[in-house]
Amino acid sequence: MLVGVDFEPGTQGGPFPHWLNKRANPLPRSCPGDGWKVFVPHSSASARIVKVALCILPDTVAAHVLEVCDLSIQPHRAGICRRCWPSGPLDPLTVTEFLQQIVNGLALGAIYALIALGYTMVYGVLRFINFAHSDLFMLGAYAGALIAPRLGTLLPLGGVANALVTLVLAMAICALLGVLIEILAYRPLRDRPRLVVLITAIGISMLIEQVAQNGRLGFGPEVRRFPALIPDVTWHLGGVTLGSTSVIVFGVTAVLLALLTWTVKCTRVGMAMRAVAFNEKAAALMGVNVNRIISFTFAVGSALAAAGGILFALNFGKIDPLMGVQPGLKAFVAAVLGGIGNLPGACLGGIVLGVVESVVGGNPRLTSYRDAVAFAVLILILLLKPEGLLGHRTKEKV
Amino acid sequence: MKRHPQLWLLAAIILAAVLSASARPAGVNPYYLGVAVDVGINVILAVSLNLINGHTGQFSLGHAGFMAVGAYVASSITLGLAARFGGPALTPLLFAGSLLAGGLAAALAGLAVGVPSLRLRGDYLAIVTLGFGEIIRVILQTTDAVGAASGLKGIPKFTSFGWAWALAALTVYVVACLVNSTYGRGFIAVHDDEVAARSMGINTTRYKVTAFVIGAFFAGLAGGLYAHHKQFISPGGFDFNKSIEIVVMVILGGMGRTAGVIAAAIVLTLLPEVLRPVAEYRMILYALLILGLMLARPQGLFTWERRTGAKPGPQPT
Repeated sequence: MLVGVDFEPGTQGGPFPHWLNKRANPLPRSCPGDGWKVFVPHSSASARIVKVALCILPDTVAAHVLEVCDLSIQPHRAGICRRCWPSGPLDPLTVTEFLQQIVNGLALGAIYALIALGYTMVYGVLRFINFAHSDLFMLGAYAGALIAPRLGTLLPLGGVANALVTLVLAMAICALLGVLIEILAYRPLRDRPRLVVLITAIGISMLIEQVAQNGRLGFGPEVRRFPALIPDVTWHLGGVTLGSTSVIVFGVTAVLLALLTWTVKCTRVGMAMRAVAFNEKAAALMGVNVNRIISFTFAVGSALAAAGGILFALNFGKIDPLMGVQPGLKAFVAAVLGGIGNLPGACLGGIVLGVVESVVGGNPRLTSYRDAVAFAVLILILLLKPEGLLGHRTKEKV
Repeated sequence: MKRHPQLWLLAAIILAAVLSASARPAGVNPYYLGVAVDVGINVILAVSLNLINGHTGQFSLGHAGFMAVGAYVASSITLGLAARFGGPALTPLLFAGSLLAGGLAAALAGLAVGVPSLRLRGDYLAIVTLGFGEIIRVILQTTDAVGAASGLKGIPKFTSFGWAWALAALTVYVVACLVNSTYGRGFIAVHDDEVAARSMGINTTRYKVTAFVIGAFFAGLAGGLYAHHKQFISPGGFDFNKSIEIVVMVILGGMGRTAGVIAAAIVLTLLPEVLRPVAEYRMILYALLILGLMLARPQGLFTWERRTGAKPGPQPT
């Protein structure tokens, strides 16, 4: 079945293509023989609309449509039902498709890197996995979605300035929340076994997710559109499409990484952070206020997670209360991949993971295994080089 | 409890047999019966995870993955064979066979997880097992033969109260006997101090893998029971949250305490049912319960004394 998508805004009585309008033109519940071939014009604006529309569709229908964020890569195949894809050998990607996947992967990887930094920093000072980190990522995205529309009326600034203010505000809110979680939940457990702290982290994560999903206390379980903070512009570089969101993702990540590197390497508080990570007791004896440094680490990590959340939402155009779970797990894998506790390692791990995931996910025969890639990478790295790509092997002391 | 697990088993089986015999008439509210089956299944899950997380001191977050393997294998077998050998006389045999196959498949999966993870510990192990659980889920979600994302429907309702509780009693018996045997002391040695255990000549690797395989086997059994109880399974039902649910039972009961873990499994199965009137806030209360527990009683709700010789402190880093 062939479904043409007409994306002229204003036609078909709305921003959505007519075949997505369930009442006007109901799609069959079961997939027709050759799947739905959805032709979409070469523009990321329309891709964005399809993305949003797909998350509104019931799962049974949406499952038959290939992920539409990939449609700029394979304009004539995008949307062919995965189940109806002709069986045969794996289709090799063409050079252009491959390059496109690299670009997509770099953008995704940059976001993973931002989240992974938070994991790795907390692991560095406290030696436990902060499961609630992925929820701060989600809260950051929600903070952005709530702030952005209100900001437009308050501050008559340009679009980009508004986006920046939104980003900074969301980061500040999440930094505060991160510190709050640290003080309320983790600080009383500082001397307890790590397993207890780990379970507490899982509990905090569950609490945030459940409150967020609750319609009365939080945001409600539904998927929401994330406002387009920046104008959607697309550049074509010899067949490779580069959207303005990707550019923003790269830019923001680069700036934040530079800031973080400067903080950790060149400031007193950064030195204290490294000292606490190296040896907490010795740092305390040298006059470092360990509690304050740990709180600061949580603040920085949570702010980075919030930035990652906003960039992720900007890239995919939708947010929901459980959006942090998968990126969070994958970012943790990225942190392990780079060597946990190692800041450049977390960046490298994030980028490598993003690119590998995109290249594998870009192949139509493998695209449904996309989410498994990260964990396969994790298991491989732990088998082959458990200390991570950039980590140092530590001798076990008895 | 420690001295006479056989007696407890006997008592449990008699209780199960008596109750299942008396519950067969239609007089009993089917809702209560369903909850009772859930209790049995969760006891199996919690006690089997307790072997890995509690007695052996590993930290697995992938128990739902093993459960999924068991559930899918068992229900595929029943769905494939029920039409051909549909006689009522053969049903228990078919069910037992499919449960066993599900358990064995899950045990194989446990072997696959246990072997690479033996060099890891603590939170690394947790994240790897979590990853394995997710991989199992993604594979199920993309396999069309088992219904992909929409799951398997129309599984015959073979699981009865008697099946669930008898298998729960069997699980408790096997795990208790294993841990209290001479061989089983090795699990506790690995839990207490791995380095010391190794220097005493205990093959720690082998013990860890054994714990994973046996734990996974029973999780697979529970998965089979679950599938034939709910009559519908989908990959989404065996996600990370399901694993957490089982882990919470083990923590609440006190790691490595079979009786406490059984009690916790019962309480945590009944709790959501009791909380049904405030269903909207149910999971929030559940999360708060975990947090309160960790802050106030990290050694478990049903633990009053410390086991002698057990090291209360953190694992060596």
